[in-house]
Amino acid sequence: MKKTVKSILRKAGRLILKTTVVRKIIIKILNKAPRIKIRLRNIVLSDQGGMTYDDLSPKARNVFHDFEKLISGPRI
Amino acid sequence: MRIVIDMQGAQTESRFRGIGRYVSSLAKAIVSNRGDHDIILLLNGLFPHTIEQIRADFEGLLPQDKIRVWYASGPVREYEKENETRRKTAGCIREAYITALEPDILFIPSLFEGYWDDAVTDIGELSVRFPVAVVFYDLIPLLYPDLYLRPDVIGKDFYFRKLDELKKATVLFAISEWVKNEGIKRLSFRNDRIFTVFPAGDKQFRPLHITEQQRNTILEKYGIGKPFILYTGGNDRRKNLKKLIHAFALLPETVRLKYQLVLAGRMDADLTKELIETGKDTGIQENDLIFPGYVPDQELVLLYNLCEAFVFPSICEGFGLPVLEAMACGAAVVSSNTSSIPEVIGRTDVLFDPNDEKDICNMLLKVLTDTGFKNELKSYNPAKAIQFSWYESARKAIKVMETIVGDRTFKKAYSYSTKNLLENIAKIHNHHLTKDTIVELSHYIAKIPGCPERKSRNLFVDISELYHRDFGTGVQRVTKNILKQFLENPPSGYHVIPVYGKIDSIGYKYANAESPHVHCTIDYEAGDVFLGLDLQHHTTRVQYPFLCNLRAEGVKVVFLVYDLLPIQFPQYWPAKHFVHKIHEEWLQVVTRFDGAVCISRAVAYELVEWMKQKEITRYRPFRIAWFPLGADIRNPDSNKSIPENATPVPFDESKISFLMVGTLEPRKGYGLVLAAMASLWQEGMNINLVIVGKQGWLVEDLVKVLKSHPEKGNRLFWLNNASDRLLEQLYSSCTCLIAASEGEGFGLPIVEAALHGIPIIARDIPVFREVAGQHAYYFPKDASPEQLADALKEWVGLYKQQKHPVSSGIKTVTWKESSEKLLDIILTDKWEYTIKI
Repeated sequence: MKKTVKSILRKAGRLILKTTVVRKIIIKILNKAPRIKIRLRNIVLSDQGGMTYDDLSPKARNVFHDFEKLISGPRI
Repeated sequence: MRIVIDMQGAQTESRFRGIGRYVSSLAKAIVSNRGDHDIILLLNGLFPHTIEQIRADFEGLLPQDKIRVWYASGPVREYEKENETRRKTAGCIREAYITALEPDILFIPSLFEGYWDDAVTDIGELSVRFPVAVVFYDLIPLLYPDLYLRPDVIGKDFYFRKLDELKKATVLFAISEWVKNEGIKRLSFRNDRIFTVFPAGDKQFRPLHITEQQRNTILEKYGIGKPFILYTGGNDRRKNLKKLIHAFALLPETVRLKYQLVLAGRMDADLTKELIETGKDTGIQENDLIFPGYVPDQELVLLYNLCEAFVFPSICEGFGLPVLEAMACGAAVVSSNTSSIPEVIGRTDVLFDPNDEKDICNMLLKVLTDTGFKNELKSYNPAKAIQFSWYESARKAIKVMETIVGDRTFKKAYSYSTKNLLENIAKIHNHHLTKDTIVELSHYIAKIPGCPERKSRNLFVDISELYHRDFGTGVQRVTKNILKQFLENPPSGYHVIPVYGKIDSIGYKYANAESPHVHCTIDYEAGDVFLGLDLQHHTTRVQYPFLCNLRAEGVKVVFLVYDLLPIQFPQYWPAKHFVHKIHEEWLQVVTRFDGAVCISRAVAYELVEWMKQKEITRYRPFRIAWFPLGADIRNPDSNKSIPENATPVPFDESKISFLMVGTLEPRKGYGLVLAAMASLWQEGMNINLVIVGKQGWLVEDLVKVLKSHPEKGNRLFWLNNASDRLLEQLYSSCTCLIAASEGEGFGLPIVEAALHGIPIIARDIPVFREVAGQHAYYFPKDASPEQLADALKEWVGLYKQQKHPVSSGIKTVTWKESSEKLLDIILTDKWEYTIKI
């Protein structure tokens, strides 16, 4: 499995990842396998997916809180 | 009147068909003829790859902030049943977004979208809030249920649901009189609520003068070796191509063998096989029946121009755009006599009964053999086609919309409320939403514009590098000074907001520590401006997707470009850091956005050349301008005092002191000047060299020489830790500035020297000529130490006679003036160059 990951990474020119977690895992693998010729700067994050509360803008946070209140509140 | 046009028909697969062309052509014509009306184009964010193309299509016609994008979680296509909740949620978000735009009328040019694609075009509750105009293309599936609505045909439910939606429209724009009559007859639409708004051909479809080479190339490409009869369009059964092949086969052999039948267009593969079999069965030679597949417009126009005849045997059409395009190109068109086609052609002597092979054959024979008839058609058709004009159609559509909006029955009685939207979405989800779903939905809902419209826009200023650390580099001095001016003198109508990005997460954050939102991802809206003021290669590249989203949503994204030096002089940076590659990649990112403001005309020119060389492809033009950097050194913002351990400079009034300012790096020419000075010292000239700058890279040998130089502390002084205040003193005390750099983005020391009134000796490079003009003494660009020594001697001679160039003529600007010029460029689009690639 690990070998396959390495082989994919070696072939990849640029990796666009969905989450910071995946990015960190890949960087960890790369650090253990210095022969893989892919630079840190070629691992970038995409704007879609894996969004957390911390990623929300102030306006979106307000919507989030209203939403949570609505769902947890009494229902008709 | 505010018209919101739902542009999804130009985003889905329909964009490759006549419907997509209708949507974008009519929208363009409406925008061009809008007069005082306010037009907003609305796009679906689930088609991100189409947004830039549509924005490019409207570049120059409509301000980019009038093109809005709504977002929802996808996929939402109706074909996949598991999308239902998402589709309904997306529908609610879209309705709320449209309502928040406060339209006087909503125009949906393509309602029957969203089965195969992630479009959501329902009218829903909208027609209760304001009038909704919809384009009515046809009722063909209803007219031919055996073909389109059989029990095994998928999408039947979708069709009937959409028909119900269509009935909710306030007004319909039928694409032909025939369609209008069908709407009245079959949908019981009121006569005064349905109007004919004809399509028109694109301007590129016209008679052309085609060279022999063009002719041969196109014919060879599609395997056409004889005069040919052309058809374009799909190959579904309604198009009646089987009958056409039979009719072609019925032509007398002497005639038929002279021609090929070319059936062009995006076609179903299985049906194409059937047609090939039909050709074989009827005895048509394999080479005489050609299926070129999809032909791009620029080639299609050539085929229309080159064909002997154009034939259109369709049984039923809402309009018949290929007929109009062929006519516009001057082709001899013969066509079926059904549905809307006679309206397009405008004469009866070219029509045939599409159900009668013999009749089709006779008409083909007539047009192929009767030269007089053919030539008469060729001259009649372009004149007739011109009568169909998008301009006229748009005027009619606007007039109808004005009338509808003026009707008091449709007074707005609703405004957007987030509370209602959230309640509706919660109901769709049965109040069971995971935290992740709420986060994602909140992100999309927050993009709905506020009501009422906001009065001021945001100017986001990226200070990523400065935010994390202040190295006191030239770039950071610029960043600090410009930001300070922006904050002290904000442009009218804008909030200046400093932001920063990181390399481990996507999204620019608020940087102002006093803001309650510090470290939160920024809220932005169409019409805002993002200025990449600071230079942070890695951050900009990591934030590329976020910046793309900003731009897709109508935020103008521009960058400051300080120089292209690492690309021009890669040898002057440590090879292991790949600075030239990183800088080039950064420029590749920067030039994907709206514009770059360079810190000198020389850099602007270099950037233009670099872009031409790289052949960067873009939909919209890239704009480039330049502005001068400021110099307020008389009021240094540094609070630092002269360092106690700083080397005191013994300035003897009778001694000439040359000053050099800037980080020690190979490009700056310190080695050259030091060598020249050494030879002058050897000759006995009693002059000082004062160097002010931190140690940079690749200068270890130079530093060794400076530290161990026999003149150190005597006639050679190196201050590697001077504060701004000390630098002030040095400018006042030295005799002359030497600017020996091989390349600079601007050359701030020249301006600072001019402010202090000291003369300047500069290397003869374009940027120094630009900044100092005739007010400096120049030495040759490729001077050797000996040549420079001679030049310095000559300058000293001139100086002693007071005949040297004085720097007082150099035009300097304050940081206030500099930042005002920068704002003028980015906020009012005062660009110097426009690159269209």
